[in-house]
Amino acid sequence: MSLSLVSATEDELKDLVAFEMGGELMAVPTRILREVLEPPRITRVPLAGVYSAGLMNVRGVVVPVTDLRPLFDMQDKPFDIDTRIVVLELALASGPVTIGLIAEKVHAVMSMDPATVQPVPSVGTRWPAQTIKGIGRWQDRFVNLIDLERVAQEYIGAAHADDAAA
Amino acid sequence: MIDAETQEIFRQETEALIESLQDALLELNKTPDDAELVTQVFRDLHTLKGTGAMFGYARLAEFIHDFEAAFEAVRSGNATVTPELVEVSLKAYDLIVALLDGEDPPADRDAELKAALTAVTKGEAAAVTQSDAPAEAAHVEGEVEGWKLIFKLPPDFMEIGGNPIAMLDELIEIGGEGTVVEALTDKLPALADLKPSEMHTGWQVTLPAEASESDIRDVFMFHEDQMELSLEPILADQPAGGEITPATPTETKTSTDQQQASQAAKKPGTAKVQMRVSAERLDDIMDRVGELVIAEARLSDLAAKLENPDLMEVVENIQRLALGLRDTTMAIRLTPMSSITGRFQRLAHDLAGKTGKDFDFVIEGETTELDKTVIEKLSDPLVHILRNAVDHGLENSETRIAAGKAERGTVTLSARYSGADVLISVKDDGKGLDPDFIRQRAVERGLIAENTILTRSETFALLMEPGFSTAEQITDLSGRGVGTDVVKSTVEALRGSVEIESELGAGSTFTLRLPLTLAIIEGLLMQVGDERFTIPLAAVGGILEQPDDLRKGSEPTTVIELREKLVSIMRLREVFGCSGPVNEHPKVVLVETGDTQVGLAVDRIIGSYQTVIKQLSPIHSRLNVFSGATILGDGDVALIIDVAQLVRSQGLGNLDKEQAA
Repeated sequence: MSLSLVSATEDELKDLVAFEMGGELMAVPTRILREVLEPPRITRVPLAGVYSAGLMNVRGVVVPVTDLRPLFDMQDKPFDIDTRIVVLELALASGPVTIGLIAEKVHAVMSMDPATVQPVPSVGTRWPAQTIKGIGRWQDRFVNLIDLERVAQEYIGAAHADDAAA
Repeated sequence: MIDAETQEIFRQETEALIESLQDALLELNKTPDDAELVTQVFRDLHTLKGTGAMFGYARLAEFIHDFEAAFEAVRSGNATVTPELVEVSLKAYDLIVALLDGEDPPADRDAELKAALTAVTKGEAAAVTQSDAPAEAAHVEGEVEGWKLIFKLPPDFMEIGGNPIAMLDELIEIGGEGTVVEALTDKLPALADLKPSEMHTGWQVTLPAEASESDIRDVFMFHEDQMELSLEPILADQPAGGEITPATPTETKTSTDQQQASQAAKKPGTAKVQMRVSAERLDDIMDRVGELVIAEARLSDLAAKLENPDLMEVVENIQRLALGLRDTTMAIRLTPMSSITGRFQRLAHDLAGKTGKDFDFVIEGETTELDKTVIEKLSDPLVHILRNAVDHGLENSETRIAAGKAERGTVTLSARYSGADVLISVKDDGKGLDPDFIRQRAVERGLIAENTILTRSETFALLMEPGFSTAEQITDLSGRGVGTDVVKSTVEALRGSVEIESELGAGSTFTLRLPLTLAIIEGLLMQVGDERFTIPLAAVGGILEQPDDLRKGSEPTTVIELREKLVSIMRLREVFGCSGPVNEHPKVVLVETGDTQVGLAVDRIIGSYQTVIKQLSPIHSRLNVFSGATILGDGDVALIIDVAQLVRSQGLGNLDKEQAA
C-alpha cells in the first residue's frame, strides 16, 4: 500500500507548491498549477455547496473558486494580505477543469523526499477518506498532499448535486 | 492509405451529395414521373462515384457504378420508377452511407443489391445495365481504331489544386501501352510573360479503341465546366494521331487574355460562392466576438464616466461595429432545419414500412434557422419523438376508421420562431395520452406520491422522468436509441425545454422550445442586495414597482394580486440568501416560462445588456438554476438565471408540496 502510493507520486514529489489552509501545510504538484493570484472580486454562487466560494474573472474566463476549509473541518479565516487564489487545472473524468483554490498563504515551490511520505493513518485524522494522498515532511513540518482530482470529483461536484436535489 | 484529414474532407464533400440523393429518392416515391429528379439521382450518384474513386474508395465506386446504371436505364427511358426501385435504391443508399462511414458491410450485400437493382429495372434489353454501351453507341459509327483526345485546362488549374500529371497517368492507365501523349505548347506565352503557376499547356492523347469513352470522360469529371475538351473516335480511314492538331472544335487561336476575360465574364453567372469552414473555427470566432462584446461594454462603461464627447463618439462607433459583427457571426452559425429533415423523411418512410401504419409525414417551417450546434444535437431527440409518435401514438387503420378518423394518420414536424426561441414540435393525430394512466404509472413507479396535485402539463411531463416507460413491451422501433428522459436532458442541456400537450383520442404534440443561439443573449441585469444577476430579456414580461404588502413579508415565495390576477412571487433575496442594503423602491420583474407567469422581487433594475454566456464549469453545472455566467462591464462575474428551472426548483415546486401536504 505504502509502496504503490509512493511510487505513484514519486515524480510529483519533486515539484510541489506548498500553501497553508487552516494552519496546516498542504501541497499539490506544480504539474497542475497554472498561476497564483491575489484574490480578485469573487461572485458568490447562491445555492451552491459550502465548498463553492464563487466565480472569478481571470482575463475573460469565468473560473470557479473553491474553498476546501469546510471539507477539512478548518476554521474560516477572512481574506488578508497573505490570501491567494491558487489556479489549478484538474484532469477530471469529464475533461480538464480549471478551478481556483483559496489558500491562506502560499509558500515556495518545494520538493519532498519520497522516503518521508507516508500514507494517511486510517484512525485519528481529520481528513475525509481518500482526500489526502500522503503526508510528508518539509522543513520539520507535516505536509499534506491533497488529491484534488478526487476531491473535486467526489466532494465538490457531489455537494451541489445534493443541494440541487434538496 | 487515406489519412484522417483527407477522410474528413471527403466526408464533408459527400455529405451534401448523400443528403440530396436521399431527398431525391424519397421525392421520386411521390412523383415517379419527374425526369428532373431522375437526373438528379443520376448526377449525385455519378459525382459520388467519381469522388469516391478519387479518394480510393474502390468498392464504393464499383457499387455506385451499377447503382448508377439502374438510373441510367430510367433516364434513357428503358425503365420506369417504381416503388420497388425506390425501395431497393434506398437500401443501396444505406450501403453507400455505410461504406462512406468506413464500415465494412458483408461483401455479398453489394451483389445482392446489384441483382435487386437489375431485377427492378429489367424488362428491357439486358444491355441497359452496361451503362457505357449506349453512350458509346451513340457516338461511334463505323470501325473505331482509337480515340483522339485534346484537352486544355484552365490557367488557374494548378492554383486550385489540380494535378495534370495525375490526369495523364490516369489516361495512360485507361489506354494501356498504346497510349500516345503529346503536349500542345502553342498557347505558351513568351518567357518574360510566363507565370510558372499558370497552366498554358494542352495535351493531345491518342488512346486505343479498347478504352471506353465514359472512362476517359470520367478523368475530367470535375473540371469539364472550366476546360476545353474534345474527344473524337478515330475512324479507320483517318490517320491514327501522331500529328499535332492544335485547333479544337470549340476554340481557335484565342489569346490567353481573351480566354481569361471570357472566364471572368462567366463567373457572375455561376451560383453563389460558398465556403466550407470548420465548426471549430466558427466557435473560435464566436469566442472572440464574445470577448469583444465584453470589452466593448467595459469601454462604454468607462467612457460614460469620463463624459468626453469625442471618446463617446468613438465608443458608439465601436459599439455599432461590435454588435454588427456579433449578428453576422451568429448568422453564420445558423443552419436551416432542412439540413436535418432529410433523415426524418427517411425515418418516416421506414417507420411506415415497419409498423404497417399508413400515414402522411408533413414538414413545416423547414427554413427556420437554429444554431448549428443545437440543430445537430436535436436530431436524436427528434428521432425518438417521431418513433414514439408513430409507434405508440398512431393507431392502425381499422382502429382509426372505427373511431371515425381519417384512415391515414398524419404526423407533422414543424419549426417556427417564438420571440428569442424556436419551437419545434412533433404532432400526431393518434390516440393521445391518458393522464390518468400516466399518473397511475408514476405512482406505481414511485415517481410521485399518491396525493400529489399536478396540472395537466405536469402530468404529461412525468413521461420524461427517468424510470418512466409506458410502452408495455419494448418494440423494435422504440427500444433502440435514447429514452424520453434523454430527450429532456438533451434539450435542457441546450437551455431549452420540452412541453407535451395531448387530447385523449385526438393526438399528442411534443414541443421543444430552444433558444435561437447559445452564445450571446440580450440580458436584463438586476440587483439583489449587493449582488447582481442577469435574466434573458426575452423571458421578461414586464417590470413593476413592488406593492407595499409584498415588502412586508420575508418568505421566499408568496402570492400577490397584480392587475386583478394572482401571481406567484419569488423573493430573490430570500431564495438566494443575499445580503446587503434594501432599495427604497424595489421592483418586481414579471417573467414568463411556459404557461406560467411568475414575479421576481428584486431591489433594482440596472438595465439591459449584451450578455455573453459563459458555461459554468462541470463543478457548478449541476446547479441548474443558473444557465451560465457572464462578465460585466466592470469585470465582475454575474450569474445568469435560468427562469424555468428557478420556477420549477423553488417557487412552484414548493407551492405544490405545500398543497400536497
